[in-house]
Amino acid sequence: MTEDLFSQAAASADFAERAVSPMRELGAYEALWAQEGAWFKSIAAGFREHEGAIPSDFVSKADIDKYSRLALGAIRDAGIKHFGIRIHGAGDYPQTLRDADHPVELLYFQGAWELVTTRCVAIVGTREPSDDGKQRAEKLAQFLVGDGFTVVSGLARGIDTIAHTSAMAACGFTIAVLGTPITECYPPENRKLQQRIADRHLVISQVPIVRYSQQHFRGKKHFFPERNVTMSALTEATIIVEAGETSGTLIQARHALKQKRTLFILDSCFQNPSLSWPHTFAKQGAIRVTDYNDIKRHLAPINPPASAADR
Amino acid sequence: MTSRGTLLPSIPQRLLQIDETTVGEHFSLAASDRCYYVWEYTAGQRYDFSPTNQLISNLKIKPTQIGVNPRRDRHKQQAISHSAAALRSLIQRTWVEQHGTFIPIPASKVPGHQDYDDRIHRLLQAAFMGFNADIRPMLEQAANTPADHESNDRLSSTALHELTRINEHYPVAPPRPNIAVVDDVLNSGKHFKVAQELLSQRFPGIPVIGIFVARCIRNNPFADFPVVVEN
Repeated sequence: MTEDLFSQAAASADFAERAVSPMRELGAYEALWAQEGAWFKSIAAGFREHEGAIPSDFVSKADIDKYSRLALGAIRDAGIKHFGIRIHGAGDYPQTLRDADHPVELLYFQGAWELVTTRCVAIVGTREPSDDGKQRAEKLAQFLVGDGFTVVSGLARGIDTIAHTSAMAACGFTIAVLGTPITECYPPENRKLQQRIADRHLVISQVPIVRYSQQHFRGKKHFFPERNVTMSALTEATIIVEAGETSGTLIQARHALKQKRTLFILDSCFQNPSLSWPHTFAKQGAIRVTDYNDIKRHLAPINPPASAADR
Repeated sequence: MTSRGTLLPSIPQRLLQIDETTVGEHFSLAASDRCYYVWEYTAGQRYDFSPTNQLISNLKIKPTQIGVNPRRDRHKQQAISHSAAALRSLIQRTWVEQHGTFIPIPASKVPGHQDYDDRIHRLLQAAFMGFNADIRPMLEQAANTPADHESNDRLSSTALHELTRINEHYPVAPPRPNIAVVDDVLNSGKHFKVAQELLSQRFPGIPVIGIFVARCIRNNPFADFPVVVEN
């Protein structure tokens, strides 16, 4: 951390000097991630020490320029024409993200950011679901859309893909929270799906573009569970359809409870004798779901905008 | 789209500024213009698309609409109060009292018209109530024009320039070291540029900046942003 830079910025009383330039913060966020040993935990710790700071408070102007050029170049090379960022402390950054252990200071997005202001429920689960699991995910997405919820998932194979596609098929809205930067796609077969969600719904990524591009394959996979923490924070509830004993989905379950979000686990998970996690989470407050009404009962009904009647 | 009822956008800790990533969407602006905004308003969407759309939509409720449905006045007042609270929270008192003269963008209707709306002036008065603020509604239009946001045949910059003038009856004390032109929505930046030009002629050497409740986006922020990358 560059203490002097931070002190100078913090001492500034002029609103114009404190104002946030998206371009500058994008470069600064990428530069922070390029530092030795940077990870969500260490970066969040830096911001916790300096409440109210923004990425550019910690990085030199030369680094900001360098990394904004690199990131924007990658965005251009990926053929992305429309994107935006959200920065903690400015504009429409969602305060719900602060419930995460290591809240992110900056997010990239493509599409209609306003979807985060709708009622959001995450549907997540294994990448290799059973046929029953597939059907349950599809039905759940349809029911949630029917009740006015936005379906959120992580664009992975299996349950995630079914959640997104079923929500869209039901003429609802969906949000994909990526484990890659917006410039990448994983799994590759979901490239068109990612594009469709970016064009008509909302794609969100907290993953730094430059760092990810320079990261070894084995290191890249660590970004995926981190997006589950953010996905949970963005949503009011998470529904687990199917998951194995060591599934990454369980990270989202753990953090949902920690963040005081509602965690639903389908009954079929409890009936699988080889799984212990459903019982563990149930003891911690997760709700066992036998049919959709169990979910509906726990989610407050959606009200129409109060002023609509006056229009 | 919004399904959480009447939501007001939360007030952030900092203003955002127009930079290279966004200036292209406000085509009347020059790269050197200093413009700041609080939230983003999505054009072409309904009032219930987002909390900011609802706020801006309520800010723009016309006096004649309130005449038809007086309950809507409550929504307009709430929108003015919330926008004012944002500016009060984001612009330091010392800047308000020592460094800035605030000038609202003039209404599209002249005083006496049934839809004359001085909401920006009222917003500034509410924002800096109790402060020694220099707020001067000294710009005016010489004739009524359709509001830009509800017209397909928008005024050209030249036409707007010809219509906009400084009210010579307004006492003209020297302004403070900066002039802040204030409006609810930054669209093309045309109104800001006309105001900037007139005020720069009247007060040479005083920088004229723009402060907006929201900038207008068209579904996608940074649409077709100009990427300059050194190879």
